[in-house]
Amino acid sequence: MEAGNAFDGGVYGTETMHVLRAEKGYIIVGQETDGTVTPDDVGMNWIVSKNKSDFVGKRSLTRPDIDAPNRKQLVGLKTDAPNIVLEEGLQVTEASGALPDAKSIGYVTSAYWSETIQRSIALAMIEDGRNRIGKILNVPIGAQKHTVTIVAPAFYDPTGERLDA
Amino acid sequence: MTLFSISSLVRNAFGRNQNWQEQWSKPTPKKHYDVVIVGAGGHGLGAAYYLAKEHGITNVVVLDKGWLGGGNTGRNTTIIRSNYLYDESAALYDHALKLWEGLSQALNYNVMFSPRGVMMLAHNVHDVQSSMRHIYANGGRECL
Repeated sequence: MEAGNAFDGGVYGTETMHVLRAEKGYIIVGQETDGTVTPDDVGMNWIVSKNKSDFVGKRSLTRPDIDAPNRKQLVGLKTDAPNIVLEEGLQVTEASGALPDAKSIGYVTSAYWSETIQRSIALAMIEDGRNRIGKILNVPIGAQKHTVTIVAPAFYDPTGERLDA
Repeated sequence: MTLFSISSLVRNAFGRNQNWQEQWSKPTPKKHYDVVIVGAGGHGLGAAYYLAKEHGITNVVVLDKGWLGGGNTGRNTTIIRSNYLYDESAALYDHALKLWEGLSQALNYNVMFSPRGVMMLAHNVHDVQSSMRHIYANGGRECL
């Protein structure tokens, strides 16, 4: 423990790991993703080989819907009220008003309080999300709603400076 | 097809329900049909019914090696619901669910439609996450 102090070290458990990876924008397969999500949707095109002549799932990545303009993409959400932690699974809407009247354009996949940056953070899959970064959206909960701003899905060390140090 | 009424139900109840006739016919096939539907399950019968009712196409044959609704329709969970995840498909199921409401009257046949709630149990964290997403996709906690 003491030896680690010099490097900002500390003990941690799996709950902490969940928060740490979300701060960095790392997905959990099965939480950020379901069967409809492709590597490109979560910004992980680098993981798909461009050299292999074939691999399991290659054909799926050539189907027309893969390039559809409204695909849901991984983004970060910052609640306007920094202490509000969203619930996972909440729907995100463009228009004001409560669901089901307002059309859902995506949903929250992860939401935590980040002790490191002292505010709530969330990951979400949003239609055309990468083009909406900076936009303000609503997250309705019953009659209430929270206002959120779309950000890139990296809340901490976005350039990887600390990771690669 | 047998026409059902209070008196036919009473009469057959006294006959220990031994005298009901089969609900399908066995005519000699014609040389020509406008539409041939293979499979007399829910989808096949539904297609034939709505072709006739909505589109005036009545020269239709439905073929099956077994009996009416004897496939998946006869051994499913007996639950029909529309609270699924994706808006596009849920809208389709919602439309189908509304059709069921009037079917017993329209067909003069008790389709055993009985609206009620459904309870689903989440067994672990992942189940809870998935369930919450479903619940919110269907309009929120009011749907619980």
